[in-house]
Amino acid sequence: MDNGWNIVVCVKQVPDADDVSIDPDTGRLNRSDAEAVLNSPDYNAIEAALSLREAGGGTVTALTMGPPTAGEVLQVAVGMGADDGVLLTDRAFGGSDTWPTSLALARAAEELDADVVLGGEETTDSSTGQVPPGIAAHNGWAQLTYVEELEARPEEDRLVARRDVEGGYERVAAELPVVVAMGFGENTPRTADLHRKIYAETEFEPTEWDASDLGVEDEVGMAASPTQVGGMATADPVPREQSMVDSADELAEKIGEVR
Amino acid sequence: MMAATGDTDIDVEAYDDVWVFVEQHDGEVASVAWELLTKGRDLADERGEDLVALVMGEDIDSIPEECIARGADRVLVADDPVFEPYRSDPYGEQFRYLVEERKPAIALIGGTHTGRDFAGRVAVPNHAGLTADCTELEMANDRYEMRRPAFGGDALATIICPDHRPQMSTVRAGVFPAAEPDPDREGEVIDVEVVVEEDDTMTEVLERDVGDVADITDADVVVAGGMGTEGDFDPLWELADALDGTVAGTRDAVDEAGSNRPDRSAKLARPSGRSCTSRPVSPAPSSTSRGWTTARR
Ligand SMILES: Cc1cc2nc3c(=O)[nH]c(=O)nc-3n(C[C@H](O)[C@H](O)[C@H](O)COP(=O)(O)OP(=O)(O)OC[C@H]3O[C@@H](n4cnc5c(N)ncnc54)[C@H](O)[C@@H]3O)c2cc1C
Repeated sequence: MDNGWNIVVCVKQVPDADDVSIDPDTGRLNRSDAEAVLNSPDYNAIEAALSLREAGGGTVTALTMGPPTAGEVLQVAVGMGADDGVLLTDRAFGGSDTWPTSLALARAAEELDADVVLGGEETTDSSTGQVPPGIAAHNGWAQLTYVEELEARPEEDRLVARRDVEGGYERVAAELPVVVAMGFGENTPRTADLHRKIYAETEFEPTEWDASDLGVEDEVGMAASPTQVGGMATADPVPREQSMVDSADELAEKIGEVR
Repeated sequence: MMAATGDTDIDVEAYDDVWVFVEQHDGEVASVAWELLTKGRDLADERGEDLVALVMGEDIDSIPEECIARGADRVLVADDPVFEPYRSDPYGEQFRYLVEERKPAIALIGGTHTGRDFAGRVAVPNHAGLTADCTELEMANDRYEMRRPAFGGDALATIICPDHRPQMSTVRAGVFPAAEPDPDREGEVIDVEVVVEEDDTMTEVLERDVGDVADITDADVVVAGGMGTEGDFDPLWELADALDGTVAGTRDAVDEAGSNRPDRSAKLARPSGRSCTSRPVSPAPSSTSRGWTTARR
């Protein structure tokens, strides 16, 4: 471990949650004009990756799977300080559920000889939280989810995490390689350094791999996905009213009326 | 430990029964498990199949009987020190083995942090379909349909799993009601072979500290504050008292209240974590609506 760990951080491009609207006439979701942004919990994953590198050396490589435009989220990561970025892009990946998505990311992490793979606890679009454990399972690696804090122990080849569990916390040590899902809001992501940001947006070119580069061309996409979306209904909007009350008791009474 | 292999040729007819993963820590069962046994009972009846509870841990005592009282026809018990406390790698390997041996059609898992950590791992080696945060589960159109909120709750997606088994679903606490136990129900308890050894594990739990803060997934009423409280949680405590509820807040808000209000700081627990997987006001668990941490007087 003289040269530090190979740290891979998984980042996903998602539609800006504040921008997804429902068309009042058709009742359909309007995702098309939503701006594509980096999934917010992934900022916490990037910050954790950069802190690990500061503590023990090594490199941070950002990794995303998505359409060619997903390269933008790699720029964000590189702007914040990641050394490099890899874009997994191929029509064959289209329609993948979490099983093939985590397979492709797992193969890429293997290819990058990762010691630590980081991701966010879940995304703001489909929010399954299944991808990081999926990566770990595909590779037979350890996993640490809902992580609040990390402590590198390179001398033991282990990573120790404080995990948020119902009603408290636990501290778990995992052997390398390990996949970490960082809890949302658990650290304060740094802002990009201006020069680094300019480099990321002008000069930086991500490495691109397709399904056959990873040897997964027959195991991704809709056909390899055990789940399918069988239908989508817009939820009835909850009727909302507003009024001012003067005391907690009065508010409690009003809440009692609708409960 | 074994890496996953994808087996895409699955004879779905060979799989039956509804399984419920009964999450327990040190003998304490997560309340969502009882809710899932109630829901699982309905599904099993409709399918004409058995309801099977799966319990893993060490020195498991009265839990299997309670599972039967709450609807299980069979309880599979994997009792070994390697399963206490919970770790994804031994649990995952044991589950893979049990699924291969016994081929369940459906598996229900609580959407707690432990449940989601477990589900995400165990779905992969069996090439199972896994649907997160289901709010409706039913047999319809001759198939198992799982519905979950999408896009922050603006839509409800129906997810199906036609060609893979088991069909797995996670469900947050409080989505389905738990029925009263019936102590006269009868069922079978089976001690299964434990296929994991401590030497094969990749993780070690160094410390576990729970019970310090209220678990808001168990609370019926949560009064929650964000940064708009500007450090003043008094009105929230007042409302919580009036409603007999628990106070919670986002991490930043609790931190701010803790330092700005020394007279109250003793009463606001330093957040030992966002226990937050509660189903908030809208039925849409998403990371943007999450991030609550409990505050304790
Ligand atoms: C409405 C809807 C519902 C869906 N429901 C399900 C479902 O229940 N089950 C299912 O299996 N699939 C489901 N899918 C498909 C699923 O959205 C995709 O597989 C998706 O690419 C990954 O899931 P996620 O966004 O939930 O990731 P999560 O598991 O929530 O993401 C956690 C972390 O993993 C990393 N990550 C995730 N995706 C990528 C990526 N593409 N590139 C790099 N890093 C990534 C990021 O670090 C992220 O923070 C659904 C899709 C839609 C549109």
